[in-house]
Amino acid sequence: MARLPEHLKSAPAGRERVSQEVMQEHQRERVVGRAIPVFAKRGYNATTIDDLLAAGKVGVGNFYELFAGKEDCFLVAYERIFSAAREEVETAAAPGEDWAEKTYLGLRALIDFGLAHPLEARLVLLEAQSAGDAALSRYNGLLDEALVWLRRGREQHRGARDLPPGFERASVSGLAFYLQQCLLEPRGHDAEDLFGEVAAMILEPIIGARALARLRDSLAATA
Amino acid sequence: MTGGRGGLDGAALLAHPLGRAVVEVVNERGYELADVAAFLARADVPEAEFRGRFAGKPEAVLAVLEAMIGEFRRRVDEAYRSGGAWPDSLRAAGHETVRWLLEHPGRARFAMVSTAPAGDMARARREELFLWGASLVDEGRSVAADPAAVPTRAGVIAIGAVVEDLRRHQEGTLFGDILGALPRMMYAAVRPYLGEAAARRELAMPLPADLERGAAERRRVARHLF
Repeated sequence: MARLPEHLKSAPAGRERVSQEVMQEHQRERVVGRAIPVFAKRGYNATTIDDLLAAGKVGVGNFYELFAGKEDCFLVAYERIFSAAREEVETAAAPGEDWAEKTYLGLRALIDFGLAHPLEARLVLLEAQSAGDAALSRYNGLLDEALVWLRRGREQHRGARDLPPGFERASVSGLAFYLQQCLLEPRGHDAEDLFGEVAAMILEPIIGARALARLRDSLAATA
Repeated sequence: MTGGRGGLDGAALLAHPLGRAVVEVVNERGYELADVAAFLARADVPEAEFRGRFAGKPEAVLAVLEAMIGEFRRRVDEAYRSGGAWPDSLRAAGHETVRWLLEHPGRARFAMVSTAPAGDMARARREELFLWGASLVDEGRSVAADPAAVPTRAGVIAIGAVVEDLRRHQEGTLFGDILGALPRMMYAAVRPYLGEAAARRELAMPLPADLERGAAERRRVARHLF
């Protein structure tokens, strides 16, 4: 009896199922990657399923196999961008560096990420606010996470202990709004300028002007 | 069909049954689920009247939002201009903002939260308002000891803190007392321009008598509710 070549033989049941899952995940990633500019440019509410099908080059049946709907697709995109930004921020500082250095480098990485990926930043910082309760909850959670991080600075820096209650919330809210405004402005932004302003408004009240200058100088020398 | 505000000036539109219905229905159902039929039913006006004023839901919502922003801005601008030197003027504007919020909680929710999904024009109107607020904050540059040392966007960051706080209060995802938040908002706005000592004075500034009246009760209710 003639034998089938290896590549034509059917895979064992388990392997085939895994392979389909991997393929589906791959397809999901591809469609999400193409959906991000659509959500960012058209806005969440103006984006239709047809827009997503056209951008993702996928049929309607296939789309609904990959996502529960438009909102689900948006949330997957949000999580993907958020994970990438978090990784940039977390790897910006070496383990063991103190709070001020981590915050300084993390803020810088965040601004660099936003400027390098304006559509992604727009989706997370602007569109998430009008993309339903789940997206809004993630956006608020992002701000709350930053708030908790800034509060650690107050614990570690004696001079910050006298800051009024709510200082951190005002800082995080102000930063989020500031970045949104930058994304809405058509003109280009200089990362150095943006970062200098953000550091002066957010980090300096916590660690002090002299400590911020020392940090800036020492990190510039290291770089 | 008449122009932007349905043939009514700002105050008249807000007082008109259709204007009130748009605010109530959008607040109750959310922008996506609100529809013209619900506006008509709530306002108890014939469809022809609505169609004579607005092309559809987006135009009606935008007209009401613009009227609301216009009304708010006039009041706050007047308070700011008659408030004395900066930061007294800014504090007066802050107090007027709180008065408006307390008088019109439904309008505040409509403007800050319910119309968030209402498209680019609504967003642009809100952004214009916020940037106008940032320009009032940034007038602090004229009294700063070293204006060049003040970050270029200090006003935007300060107003952003206010906007985000108000948004979350309106959403119900940040609980607390808006009167209690005012001094720390002033602290954040004043600090970049006049320094730490002047900013700290804002934390101890008393509320105007009309806001102080009933403030304790409002704070108690806020704590009880949340």
